[in-house]
Amino acid sequence: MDIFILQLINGLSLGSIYALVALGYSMVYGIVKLINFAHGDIIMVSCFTMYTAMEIAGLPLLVSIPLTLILTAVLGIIIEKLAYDRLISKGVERISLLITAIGVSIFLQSTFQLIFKADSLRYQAFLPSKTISLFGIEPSLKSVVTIIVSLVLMLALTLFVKLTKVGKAMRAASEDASAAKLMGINTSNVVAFTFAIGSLLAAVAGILYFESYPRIEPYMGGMLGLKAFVAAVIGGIGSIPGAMAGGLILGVAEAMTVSIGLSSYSDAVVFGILIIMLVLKPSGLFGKNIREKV
Amino acid sequence: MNESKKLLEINELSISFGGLNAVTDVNFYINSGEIFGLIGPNGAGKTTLFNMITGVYLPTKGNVTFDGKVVSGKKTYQINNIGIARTFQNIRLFREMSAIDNVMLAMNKETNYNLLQCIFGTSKYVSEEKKIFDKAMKLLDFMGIAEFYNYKAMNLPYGQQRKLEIARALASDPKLLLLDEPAAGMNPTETAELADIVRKIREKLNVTILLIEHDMSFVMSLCERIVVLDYGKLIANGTPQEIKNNPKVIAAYLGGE
Amino acid sequence: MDKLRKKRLLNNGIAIVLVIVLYVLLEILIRTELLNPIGFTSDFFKKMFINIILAVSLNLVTGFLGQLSLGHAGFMSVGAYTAALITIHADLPIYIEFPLALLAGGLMAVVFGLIVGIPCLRLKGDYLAILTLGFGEIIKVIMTNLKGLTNGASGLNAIPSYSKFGYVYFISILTVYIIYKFIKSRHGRAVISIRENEIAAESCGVNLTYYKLFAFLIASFFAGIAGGLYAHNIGYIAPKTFDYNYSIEILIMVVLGGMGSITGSVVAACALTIIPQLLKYMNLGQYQMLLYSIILIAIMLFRPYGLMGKYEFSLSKLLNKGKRASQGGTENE
Repeated sequence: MDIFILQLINGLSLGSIYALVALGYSMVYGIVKLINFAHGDIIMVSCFTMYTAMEIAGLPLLVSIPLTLILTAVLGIIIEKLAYDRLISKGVERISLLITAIGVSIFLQSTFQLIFKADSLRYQAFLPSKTISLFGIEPSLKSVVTIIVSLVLMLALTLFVKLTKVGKAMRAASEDASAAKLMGINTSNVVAFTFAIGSLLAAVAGILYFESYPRIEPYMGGMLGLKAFVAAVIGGIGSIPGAMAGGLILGVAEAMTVSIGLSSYSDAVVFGILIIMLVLKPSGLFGKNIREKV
Repeated sequence: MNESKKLLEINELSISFGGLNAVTDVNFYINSGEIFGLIGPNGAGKTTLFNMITGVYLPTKGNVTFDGKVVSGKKTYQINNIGIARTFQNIRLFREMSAIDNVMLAMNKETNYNLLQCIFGTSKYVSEEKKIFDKAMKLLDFMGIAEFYNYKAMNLPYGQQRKLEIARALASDPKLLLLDEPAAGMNPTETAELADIVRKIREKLNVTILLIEHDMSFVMSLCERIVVLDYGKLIANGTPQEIKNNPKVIAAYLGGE
Repeated sequence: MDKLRKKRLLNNGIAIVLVIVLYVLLEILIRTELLNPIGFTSDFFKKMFINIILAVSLNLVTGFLGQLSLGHAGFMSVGAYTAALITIHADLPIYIEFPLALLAGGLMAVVFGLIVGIPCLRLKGDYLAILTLGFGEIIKVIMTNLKGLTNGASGLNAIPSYSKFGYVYFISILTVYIIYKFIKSRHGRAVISIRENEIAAESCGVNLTYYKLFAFLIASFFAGIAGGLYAHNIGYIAPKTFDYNYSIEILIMVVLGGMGSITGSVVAACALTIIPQLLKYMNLGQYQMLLYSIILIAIMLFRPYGLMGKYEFSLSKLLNKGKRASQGGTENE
């Protein structure tokens, strides 16, 4: 039983990382209907930034973390402005946007591949690898910290979107982008801001992920990002609580698959869940049924 | 007109979107051979009604019967296959396809050849393609746009696009044709021409017509019976003369109580 | 009518002659090893024609149907493994074994196409992109884990080299011909109408799910065939041979050539086989994916319809050019 709960905590820890990344997908999709394939690679960039700051530049932890967060958020904005903004404002077909996103994704991967070569790099985790005692079970400190940090961020995001002016503009743009524009909302800036927040969350996810899995390489963002997107779809794309729920479900499912000794099939399990979800409830757990206007 | 057989029946039809009742308890029927008008102020639920008839939306209550059979719950393409075709308020042509291909597409179900026959270019394939090509040309000619058969749909002028959409709808040999604001954006000459075309479709092709239109003189001169929707409810049903004098209709259009 | 038939026969005759002439020229080029110094060997030309099969078949889904598929290499993988396992284990003469193996590879790809296609093609939206991307990864996992059958991560080797250039060339030509015919048929019209306007297509009696699946399965079939040819060309396949990057390479061919132009796919498949080879020759191979990503973004930003747009090369049009001009052709953009 204790082992089961430990695995559950591991799963929740992995799942909360998925959830943080899924939020970025979900918010962007909600507003511009784009699956931002490059979002997973943002995680990779944040990890390399962290590595460069800590291992190459030798900066202290308390400088490295804010630096990484800021640079990643700025990267999100730059990508949006350079690659997507033109297409979104021209109102091109969705398939063109998707292909551009794939282009950006490969661009980031191959650039980092050229800079850092193919070998995977390691950096020293800053959280100690020890367990803590909690109600009679002993989960690892890293898992607990990951879960707590993620929960706090998700709560903050929910409040931000509900209460602030920018948050309201984001919700309005997500409901109906052209109407929001007519109401005087600068949707272009809202989109850029959404990318920034998404990238920020991805950077946090990246840093947390590497506390538990300290190996980085240029292609690592692909699968991680894809799973997070699946989480967003399962939860209901465009929905913030949905992204959280989807992330946690996937994380737990994956941890359980690993715990029964089928670790090599964990990717297949993730997509299996997606297929089941698409058959049973395509709009996702928290998704709305969206009708196309005819 | 001649045989007063009910072709389409709308029974207690209702739909709500997220708590908002877009159409509520609408009842009426259309006889075979009629030209029937559906009018009402903007947002009254006219197009929503079309979407329920054609299976794009599933009604929350009530049903639609066609030729005595319930069609609600069938898929859009199945409803087209049993004889209901439509046009759209905001023209929805296959923009990159040629005019003739737009029409030929709608004859897919009556085109009888398989993949192998088309790969080997058998005589069956050639004759079937020729059959529907000729039929499509006839329809384009019927609508007066035969000379544009080879133009991409997107390159046609606006009025011709409307006509092409009607030709495409007729291509599936419907018994009932739904026209969603066919005269929108047309000048008086074009509108008069359109009225002639609609009559001709009924006389020559034996098609019953249900149309939504805002142009009152067009509707009043063309339709034999008219229903009026306001806020999703049916407020009047009768001949053009009855509708014109109905106080409820006047109130709805003038925005009074 | 008779005159038309005669003209068609004449055009077909000319086309067949051209196909054979091109074959003879390429075969001479390969046999004399004239271009071997820069790496244009027989393997290279085979790869080029395999890429044509892949690009043209993917164009059916992405260009004509308008759905993004990111796992074309996954279907190729299924076809490659199926075909290779048959030729390795069966003990039949090559002229029975090889066509059988290729066909089985194609059909197995169709089976997997059904598994991927049915859940997402009945929905509207970008689900196909996600599921095909996941599928490509899952196939890799499956092929790595079915060690008894596939020899795991180290892959299958000693696959007989049945893919002579002639086979690859003619199968490739046949594929292009079949897909071209498909596009010009009533089925093709239905598929294109879905891309143009789903709601209108359905209102015109097109069964959306059926035709989406139809196009997707045809594409899967030919990807499977291409996989079989690939396996019997290189003689060695491993799960990672058919990775995400390969799927993306095929997608770039489609996008570069023009989504909805078979001619474009053929030209782009040739160009994007030649360019990496030249990069390799100049020792710049490591920049290939970077270059691809820049091409992809630049096309989308500046020329979203690709090089060819929706243009199709047509022999009969070329031959009739003089006559056409006097009639005032109207079909060009």
